[in-house]
Amino acid sequence: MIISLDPQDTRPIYIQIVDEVRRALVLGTLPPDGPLPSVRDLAVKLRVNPNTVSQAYRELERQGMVYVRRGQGTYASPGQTDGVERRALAEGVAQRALHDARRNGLGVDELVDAIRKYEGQRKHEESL
Amino acid sequence: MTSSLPTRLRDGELAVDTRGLTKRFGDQVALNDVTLQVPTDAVYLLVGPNGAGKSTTLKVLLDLVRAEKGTAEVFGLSTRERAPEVRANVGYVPERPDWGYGWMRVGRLLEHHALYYPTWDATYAARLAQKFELRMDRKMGVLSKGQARRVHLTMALAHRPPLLLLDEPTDGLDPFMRDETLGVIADHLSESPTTVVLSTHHVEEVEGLADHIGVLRNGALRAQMSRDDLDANLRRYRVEVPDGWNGVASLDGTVLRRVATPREVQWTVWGPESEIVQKLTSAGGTVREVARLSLIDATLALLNPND
Amino acid sequence: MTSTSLHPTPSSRTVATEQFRAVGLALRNEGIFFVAALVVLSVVLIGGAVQFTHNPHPPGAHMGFRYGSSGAIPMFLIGLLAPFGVWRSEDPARRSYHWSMPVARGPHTMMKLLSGWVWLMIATIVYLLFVIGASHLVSIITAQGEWQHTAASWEWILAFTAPTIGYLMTSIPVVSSNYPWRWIGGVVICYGVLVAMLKAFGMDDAARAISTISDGKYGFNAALFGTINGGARDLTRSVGWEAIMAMRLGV
Repeated sequence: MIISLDPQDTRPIYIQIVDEVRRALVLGTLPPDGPLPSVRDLAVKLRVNPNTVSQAYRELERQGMVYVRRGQGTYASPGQTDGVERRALAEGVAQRALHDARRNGLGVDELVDAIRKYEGQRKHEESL
Repeated sequence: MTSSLPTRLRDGELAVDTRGLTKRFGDQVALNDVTLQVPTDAVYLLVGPNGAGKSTTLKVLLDLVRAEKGTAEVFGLSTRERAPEVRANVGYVPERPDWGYGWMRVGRLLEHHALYYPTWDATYAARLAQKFELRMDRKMGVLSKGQARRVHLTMALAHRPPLLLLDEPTDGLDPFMRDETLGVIADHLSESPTTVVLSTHHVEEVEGLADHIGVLRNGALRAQMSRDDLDANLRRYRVEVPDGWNGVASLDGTVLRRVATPREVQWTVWGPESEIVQKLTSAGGTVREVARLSLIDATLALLNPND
Repeated sequence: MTSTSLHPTPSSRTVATEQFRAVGLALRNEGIFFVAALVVLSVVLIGGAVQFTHNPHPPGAHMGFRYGSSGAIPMFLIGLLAPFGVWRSEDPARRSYHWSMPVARGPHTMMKLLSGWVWLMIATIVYLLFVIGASHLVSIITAQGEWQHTAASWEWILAFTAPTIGYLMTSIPVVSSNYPWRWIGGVVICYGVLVAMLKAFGMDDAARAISTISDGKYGFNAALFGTINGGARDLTRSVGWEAIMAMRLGV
């Protein structure tokens, strides 16, 4: 599982870490019961305050995505939660798209139309 | 009600507590009523232009410079009256690269330094020396700025002091070593609970590490807050404005920046988001975007507001 | 207070020992040069002694070597220069490292000063051992029997007090000022200029009065070297020089 931070992302870092873990869970790069890096290892790798990593892990635990095995570290939850996580990811993407649309003065319908059109085009190209 | 920039932290245990520090060098005001508050185990980023007083503040904490007015305490100890005890608990990386006996070899200087700090961890020092690729046989005086800096970092970290004062810790280092240094600091924080006060021009580097920020300009502390506070209150608003827009009487906050084009105005404001959005909307504007700022952008806005 | 307990300051003994070692290290090259110079002088003297014994010379001639109070001069000069080595800093502000250590500034400065002084005394002992040893050798080689020292005990003590005074003299500007040479040079030049000017204006009495600082019965030269002569003249009589001259003249 590779966690990296986007320097352009201005959201609090612990939220970014939570999203990265969520992504890994959904994509499968972090399997159920798979180990997460230790707080220390992740802090060093990301050049981030260990307290921030702890905060992210606590949030992940609160949301049920990970659990802590005492003395051994943090692991991905075994249950099939990625349905929940997929929805959360989708909401995140949608939020960013809508934010971007509003910035450009576009309405929701315009955005949805554009998405459909683009997706249709892409499918057409693929089938060729 | 306008929220002005906060300059005092809320109550809490402070590792560094200065009150009204004032210092002049000749007729140059180096520090002007500086009340620095660094909570225990915080990573406090001290920003400001050159000559703002960052280095002087750190030197006051070490009693290398004496303030004319005001007090300074580190872990409850007066920096003036109990200077040796304060210094025993501080790891200092100075701004100047020529620090430490120039005629001494690196290895010997580390040995020398170790004897002054009973908590020196020789294993850790060796690990740091390896990480920083120190050449033990070279004399301090012939080292480049970056090489000297790496020796100073080793000297400051190896005795695991409760307080680190880092004055431009990555200055002079090549990009790879700068990155390594940040990793070393993150690693150090993981192993030992440490309070850090660091000043750097490379603000983007410490985006992940810093959890407090203090903005110094012309010797005065213009703003001081936690990152959470900064995150919650500093926003950039992009507003589409109609023709003949008269502006807003007053936003519920401190406007740091304002950029206006005929159809759109962009404000950087410190203050409660919901109330500001309301004010903008009721004044006839359409709020297109409310964005957080990166640490570097926030720093720039705090340092150079459109006065 | 933080949950972690505060770190202690180092013990005075550790600091004093380390300052002694560090100052020794700082002066190491000078020390090596010093010992080498003594060795070379020894070789020259022994060579002269050997030559003396093999050359015809009038009866009653001897190769002599009297250690006098002027023997303290070389060590005095070394004492004057020593603080520059002890506080070796190319840049005045480098001293900030010394002062940023977890030791009170005053005592820490004292420790370095004292360390330098101890090394100076060690150098003086080495120097005196050379003086005694070389003159013993010379008397053995020239078969003049047991070497008897004719120096009074106070003249031996001068070898220790003179450099100490010199060391303290230059230590003050070196420690307290960022530009010690300006102070030292300034004081010497002012003194010299003042005396010269007074003499030039025919105010001999005044000139003599002021120059008692150096030349008077209780002045500088007397206190340091037990002589009332000009210091420069005594320089030419320093250790070894007389011996070398004696060798050449075969007297």
